[in-house]
Amino acid sequence: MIGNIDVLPCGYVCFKDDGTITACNVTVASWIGYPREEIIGKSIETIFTLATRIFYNTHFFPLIKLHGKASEIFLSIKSKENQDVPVLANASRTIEDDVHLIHCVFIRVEQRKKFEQELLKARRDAENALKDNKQLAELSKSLEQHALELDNQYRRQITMNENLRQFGKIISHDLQEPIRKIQIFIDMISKDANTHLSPKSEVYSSKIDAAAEKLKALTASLHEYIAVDNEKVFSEVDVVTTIQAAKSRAANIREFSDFTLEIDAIPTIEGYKKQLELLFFHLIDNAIKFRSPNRKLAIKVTHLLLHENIFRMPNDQYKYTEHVRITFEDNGVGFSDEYRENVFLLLKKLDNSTAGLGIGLPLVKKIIHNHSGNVNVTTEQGKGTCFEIELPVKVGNE
Amino acid sequence: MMKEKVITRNNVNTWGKGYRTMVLAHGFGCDQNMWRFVTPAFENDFKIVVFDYVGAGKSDVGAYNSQRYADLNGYAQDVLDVCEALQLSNVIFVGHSVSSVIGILAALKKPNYFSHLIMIGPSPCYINHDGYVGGFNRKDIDELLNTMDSNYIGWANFLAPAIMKNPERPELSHELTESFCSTDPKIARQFAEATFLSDNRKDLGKVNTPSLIMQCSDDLIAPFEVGDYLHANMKNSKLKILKATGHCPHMSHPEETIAVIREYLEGIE
Repeated sequence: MIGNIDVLPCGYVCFKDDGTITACNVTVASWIGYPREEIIGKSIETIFTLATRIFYNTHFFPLIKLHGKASEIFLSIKSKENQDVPVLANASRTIEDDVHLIHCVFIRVEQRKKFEQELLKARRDAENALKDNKQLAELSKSLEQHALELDNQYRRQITMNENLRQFGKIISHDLQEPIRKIQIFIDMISKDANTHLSPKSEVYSSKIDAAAEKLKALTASLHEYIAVDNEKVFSEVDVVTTIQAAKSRAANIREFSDFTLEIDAIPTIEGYKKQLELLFFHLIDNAIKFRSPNRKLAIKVTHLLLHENIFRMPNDQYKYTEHVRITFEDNGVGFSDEYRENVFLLLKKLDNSTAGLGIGLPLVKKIIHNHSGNVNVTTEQGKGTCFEIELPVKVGNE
Repeated sequence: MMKEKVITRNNVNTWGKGYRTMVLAHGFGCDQNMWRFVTPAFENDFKIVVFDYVGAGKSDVGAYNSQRYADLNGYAQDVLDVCEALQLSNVIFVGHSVSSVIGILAALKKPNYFSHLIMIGPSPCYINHDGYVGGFNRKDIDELLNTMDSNYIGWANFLAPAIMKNPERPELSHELTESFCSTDPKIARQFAEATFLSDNRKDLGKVNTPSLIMQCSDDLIAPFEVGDYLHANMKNSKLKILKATGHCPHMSHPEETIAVIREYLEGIE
């Protein structure tokens, strides 16, 4: 009964789950070009072309294993002379004496294959034409819509920018003047030999002076917060030098330099140079302000290159581009986790007894957003704070 | 993302007991069904999580975005979405084939989510480059894409109208969805391209998560050189050569696959 498999006008191969061929007929052996004895014992993969072997591993075998059979699968058998023999395969999996066997019959489909290929090509061409057409139509529609939205936004932006500019001017000039005057006149009162201030009034006057001083600092900070957007041109920014410059500035202003700052080889990125310097200035300044009295302040800045989606708005747009994730870590006092959301809020201070005005971290966040980046903070009270900043390496198209 | 949305989108299934979680991610060409030979061995000691990538198995094909899934990072986001939806951390991630690299990308983005990566037949780059053996040339991959097209013309185009004509035979439709793990040829083709044209060699050195490289004997898709390359370039990695041949040891040799995973897990506890 089994003997007549050799006269069948189709190829027959039987193999185990591990691929070892246990039987085959003369028909398939003649296609391959080796005697049957040399084929038996080899792996089923040896009779296939490379592409078919990949397909066998990723599709054909999982299919037979999971469903016990497969039908109408196109494969290519490789002949001794390296010729492709296109075949259509049907397979089933049986169990005999506790051994799983996969039975496979192959029908040569040279003619059909040519036909299929022409069909495929025609289908692909038609699909591409349709896709291009459809995509073009969709694109032009969404472009028009975007153009409208952009136009609208642009107009609003111009008004907002003008408002901000006015606001900035008010803060930096118009508001400064009365503050300065308050301070001058308080000073004159206290220095005037003819006025005799009661001890109580002395205290009041110094309180007025302190309040004016704070108002001055606040308006200066607010001005900084608004003025940061004036930088409009991107340039190549060497992050390491930028951090070092920010460090010197922070050390000068705080008159504190007893700390270490370790920076690894962060690559150059495209960005707003002044903003980035301001960003790192505030991070370092923050680390200095909230250093622990129990140990020497140590700041560590490391980086990791990742591919992230450049689109930040959740509208199902994706383009994965290279981003650098900069981790800025200090060993300061940290803060309680419950305030995590608050640290980036403008003028929101966690603790009124601490130094600062509550403008540094909001500015940090704003600068990162100006770069289409992202920031996350983690902290442990008494141990330190860690900022994770993700910035695109290049802003435009790669 | 909303938890329920991810659960249906990725057809997430969870069972098993144990305080640690094992997330198993299928490779190219299949779906979560491929894990059914190994999961029974772990379900008493682990919470088991399996899912289908968007576009595969019984995932929500409507959520497929060809920009996102043209890049393995888009698939990595699926893994992160599943972990986030289930609030998982310190996960043992088991990835087959391309899911190994997807796991690497996910672990780089969110190291806290993962405690160990178990990689079955991984490869960071399938195409040969100067001094690097990936196993394939660009031409081989193009031929694979043709083979896939040839097969889908039969499955998807000729069978689909037949189903529509046979509403009284729902089993036909069932058979079709069961037969090839991904039913949409365009998605399968794009996954093939994202997989076989990827080059993530530069990412290996960045991984800190400990990993196990399960290298099969005589695996066409990930030859020995690739396993050695991964081992040499990944910190805290262990290389285990399996007696199993082929690219799907978890299906062809489940006992050995289970034993190797179990031995590795015992070593880390």
